[in-house]
Amino acid sequence: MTLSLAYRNILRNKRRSILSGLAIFIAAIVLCLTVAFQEGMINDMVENIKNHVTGNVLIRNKEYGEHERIMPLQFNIPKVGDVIAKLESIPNVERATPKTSIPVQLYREGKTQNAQAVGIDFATSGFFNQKGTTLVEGTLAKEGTKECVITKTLADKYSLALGDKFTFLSKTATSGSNGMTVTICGIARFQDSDVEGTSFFLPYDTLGRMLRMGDGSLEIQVFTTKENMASRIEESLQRSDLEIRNWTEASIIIKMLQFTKLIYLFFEIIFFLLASTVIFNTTMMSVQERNKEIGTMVALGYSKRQVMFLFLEESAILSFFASLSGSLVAYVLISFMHAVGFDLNAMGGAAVNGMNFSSWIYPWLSYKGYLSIILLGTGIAVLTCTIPARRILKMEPAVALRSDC
Amino acid sequence: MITITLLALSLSAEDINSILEHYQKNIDLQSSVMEAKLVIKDSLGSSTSEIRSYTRKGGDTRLDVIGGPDKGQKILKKDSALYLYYPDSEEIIRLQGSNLKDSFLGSDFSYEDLTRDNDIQKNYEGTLLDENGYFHVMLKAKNRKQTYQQQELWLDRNTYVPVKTILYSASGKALRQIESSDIRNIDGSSFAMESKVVELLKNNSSTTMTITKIELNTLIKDSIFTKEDLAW
Repeated sequence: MTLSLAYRNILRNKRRSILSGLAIFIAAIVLCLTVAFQEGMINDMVENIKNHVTGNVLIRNKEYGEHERIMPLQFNIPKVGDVIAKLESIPNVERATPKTSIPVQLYREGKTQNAQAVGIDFATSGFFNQKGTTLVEGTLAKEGTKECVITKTLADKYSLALGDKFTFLSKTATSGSNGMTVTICGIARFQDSDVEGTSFFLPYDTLGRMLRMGDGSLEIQVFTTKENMASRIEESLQRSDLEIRNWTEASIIIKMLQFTKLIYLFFEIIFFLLASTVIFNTTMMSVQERNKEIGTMVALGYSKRQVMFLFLEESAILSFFASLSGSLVAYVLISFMHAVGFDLNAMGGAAVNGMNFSSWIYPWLSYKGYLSIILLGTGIAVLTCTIPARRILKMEPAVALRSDC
Repeated sequence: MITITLLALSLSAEDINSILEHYQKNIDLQSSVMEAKLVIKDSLGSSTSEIRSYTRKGGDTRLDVIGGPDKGQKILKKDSALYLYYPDSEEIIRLQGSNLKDSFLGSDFSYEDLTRDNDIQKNYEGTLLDENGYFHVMLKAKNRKQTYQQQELWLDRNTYVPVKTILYSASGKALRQIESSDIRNIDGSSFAMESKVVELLKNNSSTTMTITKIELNTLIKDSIFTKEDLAW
């Protein structure tokens, strides 16, 4: 009954209703876009972190973790092939792949430059099995060979082409140094800004040999079909020398992102509160302008609380439809942007290297995200309007009926 | 009285020069071929390497790693330049700049130590601090080019071999300590067959070098000191 009355009241002054809803409508669009950018970025970062850094579960030598600052390569995972075979026999483990990533120096024309050598198993690694990674030229490196795949950025920086050779130098697991000349067999482009820098990829066994690690690797990334498998893997492996962690614990960036999400929620609330001031103002004016109507309704038997709820229902309907329509418009915009993508580097994204940001962002918002923005927009508007609506509770019907409006 | 003091001072100056001359004589050789074992220890473990070195007058040095994890690596110091050969590398690496400070085979020696000019009298000013037991000598660099701006030596009174050396930075911070033992006379020159280097800025880090074979003033082919020979 009050709901249809509230609906009629909204339509009574269409211009004012549209104007009031407009603020929420715009706020919903802006927030949907902001959250979609944030979600798109975080989803890509999570994808990058899983594929390039941790997998679903990251395994390292415990002592390596304790002395990570000095990169003690001697604390690797020996006989990595055997460990991987055992890992792949555990239910819900999709695949396990070795990885050794270390800073090295490229030796070019008498000068040394910093680079990152990444030793992987090309067949199972997440680096070349990910959307957004393109092998621009050539092929992937074969196991046991002194071949490598370099990033497009590295190729451009040092004018390197397919078939060229270069030498790199590194500290070894025996604390000495070693150098190796490798041939470029492929050039790839990555969207992960951390990888696309000056990384090059070579078979993990070749890098292991060069680093005097034998058949070991520094890490094993385990990809699973279920989350939080670390303790299950720990039970199956029974290796006290290994540090086995879920990806959410292994990456400090993920911990930071969880905190960032809270900050974003705070800003969302502030934004809707600001937008709700328009509805707050409208409700306040309505309460003042409709004194006689309020008085009549109370005289007819409505309780003051019912009348107050009528006003709140008006605000709820208005803000709900404004949030809904704003979200629908945002949905169309986000779908388009998701298909096209945004070049983060062109927007100054290079400054955030080191956090596995993708150079291209594809904004994305889940249905849950849209729903939460609609509910948040409606909820905050209704809460804000309780302040002017509560004035009805203090109103005397006789006084209200005698008023001019 | 003043005459006696001046005479004493001049005698002291003569003494330090004579000490440094003897010291220099031990390290100033026409040539040498030496094999040594390096035992490198740090807080995370230990490793052993074997090296063969060739040196000739003028400071040219060639080091071949003949045993241990880095077997096959070769280092050539020629005309103040340092070249590295790695078996897996297709080019000879010239080491320069800050890379010279890198550790040699993970030991407490840096590549910079290998390129040092050994002419003590030319590069350092000596002061005799004490002569009870050992000649306790402080050397101060005459120019800023020297890696170690101060060296404190305790020289054996008979052989002039430093049994203990502390190397200091420009700010006077003690960087390394070298203790030598098993002093032997070989073809008129005295050598410590065992030296232990301790990196004073690191915890539990030391390198012990034991000379297993030594030949002095022997003929070494010129080709040994060429870049081309490194890759052979």
